[in-house]
Amino acid sequence: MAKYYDVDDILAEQETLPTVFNTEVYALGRALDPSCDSENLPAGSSVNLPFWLADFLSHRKMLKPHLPKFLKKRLRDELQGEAGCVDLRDRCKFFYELGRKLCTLSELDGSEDLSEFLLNTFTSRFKEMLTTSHVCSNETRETYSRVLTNEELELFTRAQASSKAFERWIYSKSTVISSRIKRNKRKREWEGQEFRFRTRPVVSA
Amino acid sequence: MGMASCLTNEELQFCAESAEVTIVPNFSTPILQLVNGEYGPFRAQNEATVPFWLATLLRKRNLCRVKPPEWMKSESLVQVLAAEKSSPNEWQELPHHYIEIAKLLFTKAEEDFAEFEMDVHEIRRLIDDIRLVRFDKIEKQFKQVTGAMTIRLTNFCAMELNLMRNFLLSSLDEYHKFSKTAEDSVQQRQTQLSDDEDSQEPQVRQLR
Repeated sequence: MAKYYDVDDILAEQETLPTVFNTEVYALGRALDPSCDSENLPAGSSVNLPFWLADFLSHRKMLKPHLPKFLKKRLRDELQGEAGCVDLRDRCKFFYELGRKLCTLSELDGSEDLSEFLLNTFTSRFKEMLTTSHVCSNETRETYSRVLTNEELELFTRAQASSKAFERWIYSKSTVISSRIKRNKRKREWEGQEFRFRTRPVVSA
Repeated sequence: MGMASCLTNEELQFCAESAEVTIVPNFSTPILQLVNGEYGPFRAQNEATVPFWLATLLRKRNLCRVKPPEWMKSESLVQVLAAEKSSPNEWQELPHHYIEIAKLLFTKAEEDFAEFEMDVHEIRRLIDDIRLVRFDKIEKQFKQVTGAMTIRLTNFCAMELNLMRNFLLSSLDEYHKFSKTAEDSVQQRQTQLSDDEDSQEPQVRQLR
């Protein structure tokens, strides 16, 4: 079940996967499959459905879900060989998120080793990212933003943000600590002068 | 785990400023009574130990010279750098806030190094090298991560931790999600198997 307010989670569930109906679907033939000629969708017809609908219907045994294209054998072999170079973003933006959701679908065949495969893929790609994400050239940054999945991109931008913050700090001459508590916009008056917090005493000889 | 839950670099520097440092004042005063303690008495040309924040404050007003700490001597830094390079799985012992202290001294009291016969450029280069070598080792160490396991990170410094924190914490979160789904799917399969067994039982009875 999707987290209600998580947009990424909702988008991940929006990805389609091929399914085969076990039962006849009344009156929705044209809605589900535009190439269907009759009003009713006959049993055994294959349709691409978003995950949330496939999940719902497979629990009621109305259809049998199949692995989406990006988790088929061919791509899996490709990933096992050179995980770091494969463009996963092009295949599915929410590769891991959707993959993890697919693991929970009991009707799916080939899902036994799916979680293990996802973990292995993530681990080998993570290793690649580890050495390049804190210190990297503009070119790598650009290729990374095209190749990484959403989850990986999140990690990458976090690493970039912290190394940027570090560089900003180390090259700055003065350091001002900004308050975490949002101050009242209205200026506070204190005996005619602007009230300021003094964290440290002023020493004069 | 958001950005707001960890300290910023500026806040870390603030923490580092409570470390003590030796100064040589060029003024004399009796004991200074301040909110968080008493400092002094100060006598001109006699060494005194004060926290960094007081030292930088006095230095800004040209009232003292800051003596760089012992570990910042280039001989000891060369040793540390050599040791860092020779042991890939161990970090040398350095002050917990060494990056912050070094930065503070380089920006606030750069001229004082020469007075204590230290080469500021060499020290700056050595500290940068040490930082980079240590950081490289951290990344190599984390390459071994494949899920739940222990990694020895002794002598890790505050700024190094802060730099890696965001990335590592969120990657560990991701690993946690994987292990959770693995557990869930195993559980699901077990309940399914027991369901299958349950449904087979009546059939066997019928056969008998």
